[in-house]
Amino acid sequence: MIDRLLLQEYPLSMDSHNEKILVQQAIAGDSRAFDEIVRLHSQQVIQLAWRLVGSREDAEDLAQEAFLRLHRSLADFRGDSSLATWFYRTVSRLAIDFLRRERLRRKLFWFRHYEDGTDPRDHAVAPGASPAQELLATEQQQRLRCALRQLSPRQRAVFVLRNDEGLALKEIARLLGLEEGTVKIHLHRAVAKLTTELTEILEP
Amino acid sequence: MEQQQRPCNFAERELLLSCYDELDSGLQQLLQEHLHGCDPCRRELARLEKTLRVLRPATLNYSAADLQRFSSRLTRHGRRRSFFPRLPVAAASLALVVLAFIAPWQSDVLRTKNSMPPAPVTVELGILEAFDFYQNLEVLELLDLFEELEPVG
Repeated sequence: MIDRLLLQEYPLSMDSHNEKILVQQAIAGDSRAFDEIVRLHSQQVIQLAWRLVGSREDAEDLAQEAFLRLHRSLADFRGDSSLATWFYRTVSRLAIDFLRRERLRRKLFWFRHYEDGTDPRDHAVAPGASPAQELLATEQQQRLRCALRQLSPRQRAVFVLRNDEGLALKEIARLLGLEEGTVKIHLHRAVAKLTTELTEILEP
Repeated sequence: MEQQQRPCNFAERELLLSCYDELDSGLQQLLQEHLHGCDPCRRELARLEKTLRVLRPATLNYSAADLQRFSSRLTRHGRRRSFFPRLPVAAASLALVVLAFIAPWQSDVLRTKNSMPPAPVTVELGILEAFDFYQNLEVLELLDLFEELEPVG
């Protein structure tokens, strides 16, 4: 079973009361408060974006856009949801738009060679792993990244949010503005497609 | 996938949802009871769990220096945006104003151009001289040829 501890990884790295104070200070124009928000959330936001789009540079661009959007819309931030939820929603939607544009670009310029956008240095390797294990893990991760590119943007977003970020399907449906049944279908299709793409790894 | 090979009502999607702990409690209970007596479903579930182990989340290797770099990039960009908060809108407005001024003037110019008679065709004298030179050269070559042929008769 996939453990649900992942849920505790990101969503509330600070309690909601402190977060509200910080947001209020940022709204009042305290740039240090906004810097603090950036400091607290940037690692997780970049990681989320990287999992969604698969490239470090694009992930940083998306994360930057998310923070700038937050800065612009701080005055309208009512605090009904946490900043983490706001980031999940914004980054996921930005990533889906990005992936759609990317697919279109690939279709239009199919004759061009594109880098697969994976950098072996991006992947954190388990501590204490031998060089051979490191190599195997890196290769597996690269294949997984390639396989993820075969998914539709929504399938990928649903898969990453459930499998990597550990969000509940109900929450994912709310974030992406979809029906829960549709989210279940996306998840099932994503896993089925990934299984087909990764047959070599799964059945050596 | 092997859904058709399993002679039971549990679809692969439900097994997958069970792996993710997303099946409602009633259905989960039914599935657990079913799994005791259904070997194909147990195998399918094991296969799915193996797949999900391979699909474990990747973690980005992002150092403190990377974070610092990102933070300063964000500050730089934010400052630029706050300095020119509506730069794209301002640029578009300016372009529209310029077009509004240029468009009538441009149409006047076009009208004047259309009303003018066509300009006479002029050829540079140098080109004509060169042309004459090449023609004369041809004649001289022919004369040389005749001179060579003269002794032959």
